[in-house]
Amino acid sequence: MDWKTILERDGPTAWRAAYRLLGNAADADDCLQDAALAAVQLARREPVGNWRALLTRLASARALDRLRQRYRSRLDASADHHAVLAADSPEPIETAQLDELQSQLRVALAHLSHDQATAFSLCALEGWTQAEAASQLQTPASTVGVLVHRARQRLRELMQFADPNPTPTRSHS
Amino acid sequence: MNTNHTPLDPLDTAEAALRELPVHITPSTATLDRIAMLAMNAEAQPMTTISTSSTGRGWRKIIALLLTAAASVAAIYSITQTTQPSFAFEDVVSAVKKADTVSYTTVITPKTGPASQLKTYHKGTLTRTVYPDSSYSVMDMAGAKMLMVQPAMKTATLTLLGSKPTDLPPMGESIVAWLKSAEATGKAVGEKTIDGVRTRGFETAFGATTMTIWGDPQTKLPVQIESTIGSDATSFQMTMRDFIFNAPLEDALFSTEPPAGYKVKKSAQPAVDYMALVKLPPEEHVVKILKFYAGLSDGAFPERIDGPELIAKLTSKMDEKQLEDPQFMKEFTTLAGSMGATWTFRQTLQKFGYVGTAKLNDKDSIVFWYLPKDAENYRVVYADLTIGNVPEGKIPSVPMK
Repeated sequence: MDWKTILERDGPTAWRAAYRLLGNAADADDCLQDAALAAVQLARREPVGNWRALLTRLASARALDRLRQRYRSRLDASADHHAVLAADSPEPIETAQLDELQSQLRVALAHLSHDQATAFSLCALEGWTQAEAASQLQTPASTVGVLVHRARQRLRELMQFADPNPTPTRSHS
Repeated sequence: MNTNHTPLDPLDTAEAALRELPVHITPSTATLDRIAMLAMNAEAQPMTTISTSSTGRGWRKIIALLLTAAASVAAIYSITQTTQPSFAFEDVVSAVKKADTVSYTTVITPKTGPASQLKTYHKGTLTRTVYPDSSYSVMDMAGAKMLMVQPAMKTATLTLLGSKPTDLPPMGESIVAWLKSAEATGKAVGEKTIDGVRTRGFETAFGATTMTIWGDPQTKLPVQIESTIGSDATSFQMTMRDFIFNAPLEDALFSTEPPAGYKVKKSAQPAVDYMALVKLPPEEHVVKILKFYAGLSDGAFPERIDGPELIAKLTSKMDEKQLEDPQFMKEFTTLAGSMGATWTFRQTLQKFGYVGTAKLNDKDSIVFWYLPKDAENYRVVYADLTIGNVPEGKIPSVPMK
């Protein structure tokens, strides 16, 4: 397998998917690495038709796991306040508001079910069609549609009542 | 980013902000090259060493080593002491016990700072652990030796273990120890898909540790084990994942011969009789732990006495000189065994408690107590580290830890 070509061609897309969810490069690096190593194992079992989709799905799954860990263990929510949008130079207040909303969305995502969070991240954030997501998740497209719909409902609920300064929560003591 | 966009609601705005990631945010070429190299290595050699991008600190290595040592002792302790029958996850325990080899990745994520990733391979009594900086260790329990190799410095340290604990169970049993904790107190927590596998989860808590095991109902084997260890500023997350069972592991992977051309240092580890250690009653383990901790902490006792959280606290108090001191290391090695034994207290003791607010030599203060089986009085450890027996009315009225 020409991993150099695969990583050069498809790695950035998968890395950016992880970065969207986690907000920092170091974590995205780790997620892509994990995704690549998991892909090695998967490729032994079955032929891979779409490396980009596979790596993106795996990197997103790793990122969601980390996100869940982060917010269920009282890690510092400020980890999300990276200057993702700084290069576009909106007004400072707008930047702060957008940062805050992104942070709230990440916190909310951490509280969705695994399936809902995955479907939402692939379809809503990565721009996959439901059919593409269905193929990777090995589930009917209609199920993906339902998952994304329910994810949006739940996210809206969670963000509606979100603390303006989100504090990570813990699922168990 | 379209700053003129009129947000429909917070979700739409946040979603758009995340989706419209600036194009310049991409991985570095070096990162892609490094990961490609790792993937090629992994593909060429299924069980090759895997380094990670995370930076490692010395204490995390120590934690990892001690976790392994302590888990081994915990395994023996639980096997010899636990009488509770399996009920929730016995298939997983059984499947793990039958495995000839196992490898897995352990990710340790402190509350602050970067995560560290270890790769561990077990084959019988042989263990290979690969650390974040690409250094690795090979532990040969039957041969009573350990090789630590640091490729970056082209150095290797061969440590002859002072004792030859041939009676120890295979290191893979350490996983069983964790699973035994789950079956004793675990509760089902639903299902989750991990890397395409639909798993069922069991959650358990012991001491300051909360652990969830995700198992594959088809193979009966664990897919991922997630732990939250500790509850204060030193707490950390530990996730064991990427389990591969019964894959052939070449003997060369577990060679304790230093690589050619490396500068070799030889050392001898203090003799520790683990089998004798696990036969000690709980109060003697506690005395060892408290004495060691208080010696590093101006007489103060730890908040808790159970497991990895304590290891993290202890290692944070150590310095390099102490790690080079044979006597210190002997005590520390012994201590790791005692800490392993304390992990299983919750399973084996009906009533016990600990309160670490006293200081060393507060002779009238009870810091640890438990009720032995069929006994009327509690066995207690006082803050001056003496041991006694008292009736229930005299033990401290604080929550059990």
